Amino acid sequence: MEETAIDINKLNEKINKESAIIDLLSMELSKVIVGQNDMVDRLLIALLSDGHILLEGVPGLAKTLAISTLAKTIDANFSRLQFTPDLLPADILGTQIYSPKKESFSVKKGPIFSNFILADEINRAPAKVQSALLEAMQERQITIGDETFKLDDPFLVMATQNPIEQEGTYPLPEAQVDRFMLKVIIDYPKKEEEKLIMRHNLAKEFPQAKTILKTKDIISAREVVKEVYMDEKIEQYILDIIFASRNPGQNGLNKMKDYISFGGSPRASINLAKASKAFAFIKRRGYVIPEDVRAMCYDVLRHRIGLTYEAEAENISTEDIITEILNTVEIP
Amino acid sequence: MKKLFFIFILISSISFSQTAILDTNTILIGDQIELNISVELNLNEEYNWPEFTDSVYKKVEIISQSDLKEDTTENSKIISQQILLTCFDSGSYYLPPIVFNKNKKTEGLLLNVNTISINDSSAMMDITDTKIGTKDDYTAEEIEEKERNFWKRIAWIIGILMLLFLIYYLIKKYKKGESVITKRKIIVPPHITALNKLQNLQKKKLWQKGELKEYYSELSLILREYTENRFNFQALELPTSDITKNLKQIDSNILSKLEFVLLKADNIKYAKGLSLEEENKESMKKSKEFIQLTKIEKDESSK
Repeated sequence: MEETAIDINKLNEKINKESAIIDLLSMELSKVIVGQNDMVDRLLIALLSDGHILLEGVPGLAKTLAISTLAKTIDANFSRLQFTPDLLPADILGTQIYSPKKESFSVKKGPIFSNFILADEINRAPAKVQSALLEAMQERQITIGDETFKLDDPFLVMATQNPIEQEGTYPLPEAQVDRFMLKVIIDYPKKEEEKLIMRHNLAKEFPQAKTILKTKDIISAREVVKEVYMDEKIEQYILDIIFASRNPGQNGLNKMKDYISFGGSPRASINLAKASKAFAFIKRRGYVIPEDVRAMCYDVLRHRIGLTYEAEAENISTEDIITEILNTVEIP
Repeated sequence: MKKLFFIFILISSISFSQTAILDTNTILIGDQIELNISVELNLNEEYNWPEFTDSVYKKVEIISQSDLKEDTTENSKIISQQILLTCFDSGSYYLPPIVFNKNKKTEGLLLNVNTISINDSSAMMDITDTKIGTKDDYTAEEIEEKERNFWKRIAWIIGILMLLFLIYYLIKKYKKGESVITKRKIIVPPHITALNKLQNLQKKKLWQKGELKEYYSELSLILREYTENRFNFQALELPTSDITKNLKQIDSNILSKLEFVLLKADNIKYAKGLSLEEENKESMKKSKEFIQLTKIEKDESSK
């Protein structure tokens, strides 16, 4: 018993030491990005949990700036992919090019061979392109011709979706959207924040972030995140939440029964656990508490709960359902 | 002399030997009437019996007709036929004379077909009543009785519907396994329940047996249950930080007692935390103090 307690104390110390990179990153990012603390936190959580992130928000909310600044602070490669209806999978993944001089094919790698990818307006490209990207996100490798290439580590995809102008878009199917660890909804900055943004842009020089970390720092931080202790009671809490989303009627959520067409998949349980650990890490804690799970619940489950026509007719959102689940599931 | 002649003519016309008689001259639309045709002829007298197809005259329709019947006497023969008629259009219809031969023909007949008048009084009509007509066709007593019958029927329908609803309600209750007769609930104040549970927890001597996690899990549960019932918010579903946020209205010294126990419990439950003997006793003491200091007195609750 005493030994395990010492382990947690040691872990807390280790996390305190390792999580210093969070302070450094946050400081550099805040030089360029004003406000949007939740988005920056979620970006770091996805980075530390080896996941991908889907951002939904109107244009001009610093989505591109956030990921490009992150890439700059970490000394990593960054690619931006603007998804359009005429985009082809080869435009992302790469292709084989015939060299008449050498009389052979050579591989031309696509922009996906980067550490950080911004897939802008992912729902504007047809299914085959989305599928190519999402497969690469899952497999972490790409096959061009006969050759298979491993993708760089860390590999973080931040895709964006515009909630307006849905005409001519290809909404991501549920099975593919499930591959994103988090779906974050970005809102407009506050008045004071926007004032600062305005000043930054009017100044002679726009603030620039410095490179302060190496990719290996991120990889080692990920290892520490994995060590964050998660008690069986927290595991039970996560499962209770996910099962309540699947079987609302059996979990005291009778009034939500007609609004949920499908609940969270096992990938939801895995990602909620991973995200909770990363959240505890950025809060400098060596163990997960229910607050961490609750904090990550919306971003992990938002895109994993299907709504019925009744829910849409009655203006019930997935956020309402998640709130109801959290208000019903007892904390162990 | 003239008078005598007139009487002779009248008698001869009444006792003429060919007749076409209707049951009645006035019917309602769709009513059926019988037309009896008969003619008396000499035994060797020639005649031409008319052949009826669908109608006697325009809209007066034939439903059925009997075969010709011939009765013979010493000097004469009587031929007769019954025809069942109806009419579906109101109005007066003239049925032309039936000619048997150059000497024998019947008189023309007049048939009046009336429509059924409908007015508000028909709603109160007894549909089983064969008497059909307007309100004016009934006496005051009849109308009164019909109204009485109408309200009686309404009362019966309401009674039956109520009975059906009661049966449905009982079946539903029975299926749910609920008792129809509700028992009076005895409401125990939350502080009594919580203090009793703390007493029982103490008796279990969990931390003394090394079951520290179980001890703090139960202690935290008792306090959260008490908080939920005493302060009317969902404390069982909320983490410690949210519980304390919801209790901002109470004195910070009292709140700190709850916070101490819940945070200690969280540390032991979720972080493999350890606790000294004194801390365990202190947690129990602070829990009891929190309950005692925030309980609702009987007088206060009855206000």
